[in-house]
Amino acid sequence: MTKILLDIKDLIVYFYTEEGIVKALEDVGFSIKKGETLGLVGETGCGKSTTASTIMYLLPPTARVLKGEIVFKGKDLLKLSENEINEIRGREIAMVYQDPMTSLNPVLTVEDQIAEVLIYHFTMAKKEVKERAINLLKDVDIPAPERVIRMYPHELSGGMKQRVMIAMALAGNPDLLILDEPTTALDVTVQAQFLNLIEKLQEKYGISILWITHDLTVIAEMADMVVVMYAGYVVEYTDVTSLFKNSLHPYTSLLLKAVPRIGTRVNDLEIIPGVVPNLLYPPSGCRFHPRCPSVKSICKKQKPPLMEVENNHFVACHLYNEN
Amino acid sequence: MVKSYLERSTVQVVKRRLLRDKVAQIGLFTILLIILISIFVPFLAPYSPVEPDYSKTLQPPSKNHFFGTDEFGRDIFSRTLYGTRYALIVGLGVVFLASAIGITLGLLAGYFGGITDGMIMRTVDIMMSIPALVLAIALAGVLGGGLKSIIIAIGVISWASLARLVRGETLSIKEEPYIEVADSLGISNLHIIFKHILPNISSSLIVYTTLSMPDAILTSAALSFLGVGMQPPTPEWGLMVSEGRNFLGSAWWISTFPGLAIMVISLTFNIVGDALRDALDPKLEGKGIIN
Amino acid sequence: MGGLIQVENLKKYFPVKKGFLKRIVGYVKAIDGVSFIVNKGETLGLVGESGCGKTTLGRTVDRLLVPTEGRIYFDGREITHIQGKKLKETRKDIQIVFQNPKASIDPRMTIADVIGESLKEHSLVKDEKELKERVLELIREVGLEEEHLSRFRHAFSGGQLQRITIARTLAMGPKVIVLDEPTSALDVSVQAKILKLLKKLQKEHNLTYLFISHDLAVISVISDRIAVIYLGKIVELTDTKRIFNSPMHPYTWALLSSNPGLIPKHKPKRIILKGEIPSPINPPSGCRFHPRCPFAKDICKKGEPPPFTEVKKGHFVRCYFPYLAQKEWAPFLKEKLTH
Repeated sequence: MTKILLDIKDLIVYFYTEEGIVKALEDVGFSIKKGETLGLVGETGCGKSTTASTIMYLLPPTARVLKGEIVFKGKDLLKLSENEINEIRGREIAMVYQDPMTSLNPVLTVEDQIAEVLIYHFTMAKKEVKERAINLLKDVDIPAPERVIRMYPHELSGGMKQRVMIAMALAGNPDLLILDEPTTALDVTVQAQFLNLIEKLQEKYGISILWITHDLTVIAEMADMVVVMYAGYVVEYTDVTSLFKNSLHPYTSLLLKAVPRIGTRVNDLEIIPGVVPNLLYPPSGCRFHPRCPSVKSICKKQKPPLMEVENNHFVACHLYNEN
Repeated sequence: MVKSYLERSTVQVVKRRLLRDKVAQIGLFTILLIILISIFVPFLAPYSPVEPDYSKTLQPPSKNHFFGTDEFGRDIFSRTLYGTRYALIVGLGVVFLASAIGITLGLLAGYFGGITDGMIMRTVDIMMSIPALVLAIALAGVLGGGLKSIIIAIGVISWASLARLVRGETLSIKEEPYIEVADSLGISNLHIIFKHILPNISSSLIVYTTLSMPDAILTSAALSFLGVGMQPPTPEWGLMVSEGRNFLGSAWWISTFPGLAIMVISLTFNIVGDALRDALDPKLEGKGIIN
Repeated sequence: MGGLIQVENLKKYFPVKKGFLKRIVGYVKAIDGVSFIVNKGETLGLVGESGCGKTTLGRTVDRLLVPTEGRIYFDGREITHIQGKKLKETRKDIQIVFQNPKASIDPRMTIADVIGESLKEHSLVKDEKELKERVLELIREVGLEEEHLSRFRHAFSGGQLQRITIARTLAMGPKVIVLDEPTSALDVSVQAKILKLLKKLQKEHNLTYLFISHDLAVISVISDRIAVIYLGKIVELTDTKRIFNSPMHPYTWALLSSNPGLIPKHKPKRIILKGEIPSPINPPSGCRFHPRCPFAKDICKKGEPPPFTEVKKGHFVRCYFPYLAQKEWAPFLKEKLTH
């Protein structure tokens, strides 16, 4: 029975902006086991990045966490002080962002960037830091690491920068690695290398990964469990095979059919009518109801709770709530 | 008639933000007051600003003369009120002149680059390396003093930094994809400059010109003080301060009240300029429909 | 040769200037000898990774950039170096849609103005009334409503903005549209809608598309023929079916195998190329691809880059040994086809 590393329950986060209240996350909950890769998938505005920001406690000042728990290794992160969070951030939980271009400090060498993490979280002598940095770069398959540590970000290619980011994330020996759209900006051949690398690292270190992306093909390959989010809440949550072979929520099914596949044509793609709702004025009841092909009258009134419909397969949909 | 935020243009968002800012409201109200005074002053001023009355010279502030009288028996209060006209005319005149030259040259330099840019910017560099006040004094002197020459003199020294600002902004807007799009649609250069670039740099221009009003007014006061600006008996504030120089110990009110007026108008424009800068903040586009 | 668009040995170099005196120290050879035709009514897909030159190619064919060498023909007329009025005229025929729809729209203009601007500029409408009607027609064609016309860009989602740019593009009645990564910035479900819209419009208006993307799956569903670009040169060009059923160039193979599919927990055997894409300033000698090619032989490394040959009818490859990859890697392909 593998231990649960991260357990999110009933998370509600709203943003209080000039234009009104953006109801960004509603009753979001899922968990990640040790050594597991959880794919968090959804389209723009679904709340996946907000969820990651909430875990890392890096929300903008307009955000308010109204309810919920984020239990990590037994402690509720939402109840910790700023100092306590800083201890965990970068060390036990590390995050790699989408755009390596803007996430790396252009005036620091690779060694300095990695050193920052090491010095803050562990007390290390300078020589030790250099050695550790070189080893980390070796781990992420960067050739000639002794040379690379002296380089600046602008001297590195996109793929290399992304790997340096991973090295920085691993520097703290994290238990949980959050990857926020790590391959979106990468070429497909570089992405292939990246996926292979992550696999290798996960095998070696046994870290858990929260993989946030809108790319279903990457999820198919890398994830063990998948959470599908739409307009701020979880619509489907199950293992990856069940999701692709037996998706239950209408949104998931339509989404899968909208992905272009080699060998098919444009006419084979399914579209979801309508647009993603504005979270300032989210639809009543189930937020997907205005676009759902299987909508019933109850969907407009009541928001369906996330329920376990089959073994380890959770859905938030009235189609499965015959009560 | 509240439009949904989807339809709100920049102007409307700015209006909303300004109305929420108390300090800005005070500033705007004061400007309005000054403008109204300058228009209706013949009805507001109790006495003539230029006719002397030798029976009432050098009287301190009193019920009949709120700001006292000067050595010719003229009512300082009335003269101060009339001074609003000169301050506003000079301020607006200078801003228009400097803008006409500075914005045009800045746009051309930024958009076309190359030799055009080189020539214009070298001229700007030269202009900015000459001490402004000295040049203004020289020009005003040569042009013979008076309202027109003040406006021209100060306008000439002010256009250069505006041109530089406009050029910088033009350069960054030029890189925006929608400019490339306009090109691909076959839109002529002139149209691109005036329909795409100018509206998108207007925020900085509004702030800049508002904040440069106090500068113009102060410089004009300085010129008049030094004798190359407005000539007596014009009730221009700077001239009034200068004329009261010899009486600072005995009749302090002659210089002080016009001096305070200069300060008030400068402060007001600075406040409004700052408020506009905040209201025109880049996060201007309505919050996205999706967070 | 024929074809609505014909490109012959097209080159676009960007000078690299260094130092105080801005001396030219080299050239970024973004496009280095590209030739192809696009037939009327077809969609030619251009696929490649960063630095391959596909974006530069799109902008050069559209004449936003002036070619360094080579020729471009539209409908038989040479447009390589035209300027002024002639260029403005050609703008009506060849249009371009960019990747980032939001950045392509002026934030200070209403959508009505955005769409109608070109109509006014080219005097394609008689008066205000006709302008309004035409703009309304266009916005409806892309699936939006009249009420959207008075709004500004911040009021719309990415997908809607792209529709607006498409409406704007259609305003002048172009014959060719260059689509530069039109859906790369969009969500999956929105992408599907835009692709369908593009297909519909192509049929209705008999449009010819040059579709540029780095996404092989997207290219595959919309293109009739596909050109694979590597470091400024086309390495393979043929119809969609054959690219996926019997690719020849090793780079094409690597691209195909890198593409993840939708089979859960399936980690495909991949062809991982060694090294990274070299800089277009100093491309490798001989065949540009040789440093990363597992089959590179002496002739590939020295001498001339391989010529672009029609190995089978309608199937062009730039490789000295076009059948090698197929022989070695056939098992990979079998896997791919089961998606």
